[in-house]
Amino acid sequence: MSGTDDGYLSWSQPVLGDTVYFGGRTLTTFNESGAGPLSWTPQGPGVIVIPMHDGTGKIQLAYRGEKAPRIPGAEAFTLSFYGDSEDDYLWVETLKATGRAVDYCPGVPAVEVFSAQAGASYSLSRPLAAGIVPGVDETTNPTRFVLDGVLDPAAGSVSGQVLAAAESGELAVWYYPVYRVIVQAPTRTVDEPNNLVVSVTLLEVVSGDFNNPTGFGGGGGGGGGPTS
Amino acid sequence: MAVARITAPGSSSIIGAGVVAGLSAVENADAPTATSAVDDSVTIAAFPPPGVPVTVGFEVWVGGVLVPLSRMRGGVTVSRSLDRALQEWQFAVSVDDGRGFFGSPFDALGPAMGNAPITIYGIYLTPSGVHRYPLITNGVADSSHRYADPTSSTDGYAEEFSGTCGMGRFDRQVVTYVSPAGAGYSRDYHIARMFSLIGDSSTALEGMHRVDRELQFVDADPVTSSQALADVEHRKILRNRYDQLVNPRLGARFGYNVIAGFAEGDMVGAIKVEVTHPGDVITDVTLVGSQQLTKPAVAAGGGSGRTSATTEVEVDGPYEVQRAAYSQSSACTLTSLGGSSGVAPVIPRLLTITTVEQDSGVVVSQRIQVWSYRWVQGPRYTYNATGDRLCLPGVYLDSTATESGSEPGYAEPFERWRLVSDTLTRNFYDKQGLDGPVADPGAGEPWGWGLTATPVPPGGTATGYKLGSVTDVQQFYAVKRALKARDGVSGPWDGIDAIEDVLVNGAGEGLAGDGIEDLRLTQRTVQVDTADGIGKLQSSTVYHLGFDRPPGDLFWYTSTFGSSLAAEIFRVVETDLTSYASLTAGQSAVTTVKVDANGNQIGDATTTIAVGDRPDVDRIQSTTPATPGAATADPSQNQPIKVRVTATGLLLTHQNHIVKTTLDYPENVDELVDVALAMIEEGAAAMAVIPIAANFQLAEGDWIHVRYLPLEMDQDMQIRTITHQRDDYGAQCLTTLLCSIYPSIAGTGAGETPDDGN
Repeated sequence: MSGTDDGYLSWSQPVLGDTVYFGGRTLTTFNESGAGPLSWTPQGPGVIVIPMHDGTGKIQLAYRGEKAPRIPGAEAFTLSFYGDSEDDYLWVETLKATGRAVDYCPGVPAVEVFSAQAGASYSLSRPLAAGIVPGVDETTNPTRFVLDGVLDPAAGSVSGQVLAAAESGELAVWYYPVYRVIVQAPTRTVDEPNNLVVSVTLLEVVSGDFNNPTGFGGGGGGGGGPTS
Repeated sequence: MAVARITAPGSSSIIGAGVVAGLSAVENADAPTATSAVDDSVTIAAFPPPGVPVTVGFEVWVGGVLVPLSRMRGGVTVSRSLDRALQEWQFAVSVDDGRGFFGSPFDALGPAMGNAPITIYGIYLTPSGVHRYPLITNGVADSSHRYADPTSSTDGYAEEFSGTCGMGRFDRQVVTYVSPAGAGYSRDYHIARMFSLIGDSSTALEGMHRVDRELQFVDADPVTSSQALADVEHRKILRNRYDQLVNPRLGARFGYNVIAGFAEGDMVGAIKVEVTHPGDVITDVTLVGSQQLTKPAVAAGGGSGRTSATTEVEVDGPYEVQRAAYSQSSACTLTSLGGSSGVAPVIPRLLTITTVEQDSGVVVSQRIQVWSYRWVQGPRYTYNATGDRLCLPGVYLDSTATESGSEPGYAEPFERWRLVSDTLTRNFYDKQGLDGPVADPGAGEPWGWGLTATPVPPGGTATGYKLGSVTDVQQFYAVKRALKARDGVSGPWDGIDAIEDVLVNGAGEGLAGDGIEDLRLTQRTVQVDTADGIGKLQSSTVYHLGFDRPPGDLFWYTSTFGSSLAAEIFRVVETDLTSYASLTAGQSAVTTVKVDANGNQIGDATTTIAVGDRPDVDRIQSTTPATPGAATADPSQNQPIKVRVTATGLLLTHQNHIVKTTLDYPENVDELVDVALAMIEEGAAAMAVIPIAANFQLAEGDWIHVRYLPLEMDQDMQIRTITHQRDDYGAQCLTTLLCSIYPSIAGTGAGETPDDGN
């Protein structure tokens, strides 16, 4: 897989790079020779459609808190890789065994939409990769803002996971995050000698601070794995 | 929206879905976080057009603190109903850390949050911000349920809570409340007073009818008792979403306002729309009651608005007037006088006269005078200069007396019918003319200006709050005096001569003056209250005055009690200083310190934590008082009343269903008729189930119009039960309405007919 210049995805910023940041380490297993298929799908409640007696529908979105995006649904990643690297193989096994949510950055951008009031602050569902993932910053992967359908760099700013809205309206944030995930259901297969294939599901735990008052537990979570 | 009368069912102009003009969104003023202004976006959220996304959910606050949504499980239910005094709620949290979010139920010996106030909001997040609609305010948990399901990837460990609205804080209390016949207060006043006696001051009751009958609730459940009164006017007593005590009216006979309309496109498809029509309806009602007889009140002095009502209660029975059996001579011999006759004719034995004066809507005084037979006691002995005890001649004695004995002596040969007790309570308010006198510290009155009103402007503005009260009790009493004076003499008690000429009663107590008891002031209780700006009680100082003997060593009343004074004086003997403080979590602290006549503290200060905020201080009602004026009434003087109401129109399609019963609380024939009509109306009402998307603007008692043509439904109806529910996180937020569709009373043919005496 590749980024802007040498691959099929010719985006304006690097995506789906050769390395994957996973639980505090940059793993090289997921390069072109080691990676298998990767897919990701939204999980949990999204848009709720209520059919009515006349055949029309009402649309509800679950309220998550004053600072939440309109649909802060978690993602579920499924991926597989070749167990060519002992270190990488054991690292993924270690992350699974901790039972904690750990940072995962496969190079996939995220989009979230807020009903923004100028001057108010909101919370992204997951933090920016910039500052967490080596080599990623606002220059390589800038956060962009779309206000009422128009790209507007001045509409807001993001620090860590906090969005500060500078203008009011329907504010979409395009950003490059780390996903906080639980490593689930790894399957290790050796279908022929020397061909170890590992498949896992990574279930994201949304970590936004959407409505927790100061001093309370809950909210925010995960991040980081065991230090090596 | 104009008032639509049920006499023209279906005539409302509301024929489609949507909000009706005049329905104002209800913004929560108590939420600790800022709320946004009510705007059209809120109306759209409550009445969403097809295809328009609405962000909706719930928040739970416990003890004034938000339960983070990250700790909440998905299911939340709030159910409010006119048919329950206690409104219900449920929610659940995760048990993430072994103790639970609120702590351990084992520590709390019940639900972990104890009796902390529970507030549940319905939430709309719109482009203008978060809008919170209280669904339960100041609720209280009544059970918790923990469970563990570790094999489930989503259930895990959880704790479910359920409980009631704020009424759950009062329904297990008892109250003793008595209102004399003829008091004339309205039912809402009585209900509010009953709840205020148990510490509830948050009322928003609509005006109700006047009550002239005597009310006696002794150790009664205030919820049940209040509902019994409200039933007469077909009202329910419950607490609304703001935790105010309210009395919504059921039925259509007195008009209503339709506030919203719904149609097929507003009904949730997965839930049935239902309508149920009763078949066994009431068609013929005969009610029996009694009406209190009253006379107009007598105007009293003190202002044009002052009224006075007097109630007399006489107890008759067989009673023998007591007469002296002996007369005592100076030689202490007893001469027989014959004593009582042994005949006990039926005569008045006790008469209680209660006089209540009202002004500006408050009671300014209450006097209770008790008449009965009283045989006045006097001295029996005296002492001479050499310390010898002498018998007083002409003293009357009863049949138990012995020569030189300790039995009482009487000042007259028989008992007489006389005023034996006179208790006058005067209430003072912060209003010129209704306030009390300035105290005289030199005369032993330490409360200063505490009972006097704020000077008229520019000196200040009177608040109308109650300043306090003075209660004087007069009873028969003989002031005591010392029997002996040491006057520098030491040695044993028996070695000191009694004071020359001191009068002594049969029991050996020294008596002041002529020694004959008479009706005199024996107790005075002065209470001085202070209210804060919102009428909550801040402090209360109670001065107890009575006859007292200051300790000393000059004068001796008994061998063990010496005093500095030769005779008892009337003075402050104890002062109770009580302060009130509001706490969080719907509680208040009451701290009391007692001091004696010399200012020394008696025992330790006591502090108790009471449920509910500080008590309200009574206030002059500057507007029309709850009662148009008290009347004179004897509770035993009433006349039977009876009505019969038949619904001939219902008989065309129903079997005759006759109800005959006796009711305690209707005041007159008109109210009996109203009760009968309400029974017919209620019995014939159809019930409809209306499932809609979450609508937090509606409440129990509201009137809506529903059109659902497949079921021939196109009616105004009253919401009887409203349930807001979300089964799981991310599931639909729904509101289910159970509504009464009342028939037109005219359509039932119901009308009063001459009582046939059956």
